Amino acid sequence: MDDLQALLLIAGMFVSAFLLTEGLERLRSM
Amino acid sequence: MNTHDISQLLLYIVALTLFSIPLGFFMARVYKGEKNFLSPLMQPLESLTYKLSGVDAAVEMNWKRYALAMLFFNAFGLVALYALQRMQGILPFNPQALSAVSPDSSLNTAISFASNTNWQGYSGEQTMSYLTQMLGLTVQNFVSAATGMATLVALIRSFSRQSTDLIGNFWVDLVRSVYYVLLPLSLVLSLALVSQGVVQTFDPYAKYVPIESIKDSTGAAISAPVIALGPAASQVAIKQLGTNGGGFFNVNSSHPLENPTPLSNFLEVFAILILPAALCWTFGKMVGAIRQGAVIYISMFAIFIVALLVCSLSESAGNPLFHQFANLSSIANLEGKEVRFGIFNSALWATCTTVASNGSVNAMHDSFLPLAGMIPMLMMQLGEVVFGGVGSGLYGMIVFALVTVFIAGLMVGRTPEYLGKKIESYEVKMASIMILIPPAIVLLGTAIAVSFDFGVSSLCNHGAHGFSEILYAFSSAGNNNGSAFAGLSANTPFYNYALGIAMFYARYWLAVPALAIAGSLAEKKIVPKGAGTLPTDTALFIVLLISVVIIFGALTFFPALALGPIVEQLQMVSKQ
Repeated sequence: MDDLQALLLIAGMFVSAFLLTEGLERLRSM
Repeated sequence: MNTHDISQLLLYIVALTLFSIPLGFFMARVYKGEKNFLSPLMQPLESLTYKLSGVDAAVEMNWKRYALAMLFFNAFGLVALYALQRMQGILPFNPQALSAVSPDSSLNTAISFASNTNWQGYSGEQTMSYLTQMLGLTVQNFVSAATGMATLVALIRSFSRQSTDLIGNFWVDLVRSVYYVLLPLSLVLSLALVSQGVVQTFDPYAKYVPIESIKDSTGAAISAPVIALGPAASQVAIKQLGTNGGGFFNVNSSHPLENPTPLSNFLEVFAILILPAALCWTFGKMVGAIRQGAVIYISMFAIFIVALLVCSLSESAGNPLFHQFANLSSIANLEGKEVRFGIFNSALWATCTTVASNGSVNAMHDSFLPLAGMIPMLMMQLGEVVFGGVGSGLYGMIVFALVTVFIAGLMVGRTPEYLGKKIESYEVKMASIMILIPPAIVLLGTAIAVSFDFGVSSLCNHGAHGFSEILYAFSSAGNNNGSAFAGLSANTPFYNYALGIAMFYARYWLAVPALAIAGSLAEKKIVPKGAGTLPTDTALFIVLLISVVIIFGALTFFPALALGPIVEQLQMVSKQ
């Protein structure tokens, strides 16, 4: 369970970074 | 400071400047793909790497693809390091039969080393197997530094290109950083450190018979004491060169097998700044204006020297409370320092390791006097842009330069331009994100930690000094430094998770906007200098740039510093 939590946290943080990348790209084209 | 200290400082300055210039120019050749003296050796290896990994080195990327490649690569490395720590108990190269690292500590360490922070909540010799140290931590030392260098190079390229959305190939920049720069330098430094006595072995820890009985912290006698060994030299070299900072042993470079002699100390502290300093010249060379690189170098250097002098002089003066005693009237503050290195070398290391986002230590910063202890903290809080991390420091400083031309341009009615590129709202928005995220992480994290028992229960000191310990920890993680103030037991679930999250966002949520700026600038035309262009290669610009960096840092962190080291200094002085 602890490993799952840690891996989910890692996944969540990287998803946020991917979303940031997408968001900044859209901001540029606005 | 005595004559010996001053001569050593001069030697350090001269060596750093003299070596950084040719190294910087060499790196410019590497990143441009030009032939260099390592090409006959490294070119075949580089080509083989691309072939095996299916990378087409000729295909360049737009900023978004570049950022995604960087994020995927780091995600893979981070998860691999986490898994390695969790499985080290059943893997080879573990002569001490160390068990798996706990999930929260594994997470913290994986983020820490992947993000080039190297905050260590654990004790290396008691926690990590040789395999984890080599395959996990040392490999991340290389690739995290190379990630920072690749991000920087993409940003630098954007200044010399126009009307294109391509900023380079992440895999090529990554591989070249490792093969042509980090590996050769690490090899040379490792051998030099081994010659000084830094240990490099796969043997188990050495047993010995003590002259006197040794007791552990509970007072129980230790029947079979050992001296921790391991493949340290190869890790110490890249930990310094890559501004990583994670020690092989718990006490880092104050350990006699990690930093045994004055020469090893000089080499290690020199290695902290050499690559961030050299990259300033790489920047100048690649944008075709070496003076621009020199301006950045001088700006960084000026802040560094002032910080070093304040730290060193404060420690040399010693604790004024001791001066009332006749036999202690002239004693410097030697608490927490290796007498092998003394005051100046401790202050020099503390300043270098925190102006760069290195984080290694050869003295305990917690034992510095309040004013001297504030210097490492403040250097981190400035955003790690005074030399800073390998790559990340310079792209942070370039962002400050963009903000400077923007502010200066608005003040005097001149067009905000930097290196021929118009600085418009998108770049300033990205710069704002990059400048605001670290302070938000540091101040929010500190506020949460001091507000709850799970934060303050880890403290060894209370009052202003205890506050400083927490502020330092979040300043370190929130700026990817990794040094510890000591005095804070940070290997708890709260600190492992909180500092892990802080390190992640301080790294990747800054690298992505930096690449977004690169993408935006590469598309813009280079405009010729006009009457309305603010010159950015003058002494005036150096003053402006330093002012912007200091004002941002001071305004943001002065209230927090006032609650920690400043009030502690006043308390100390008032008790004289």
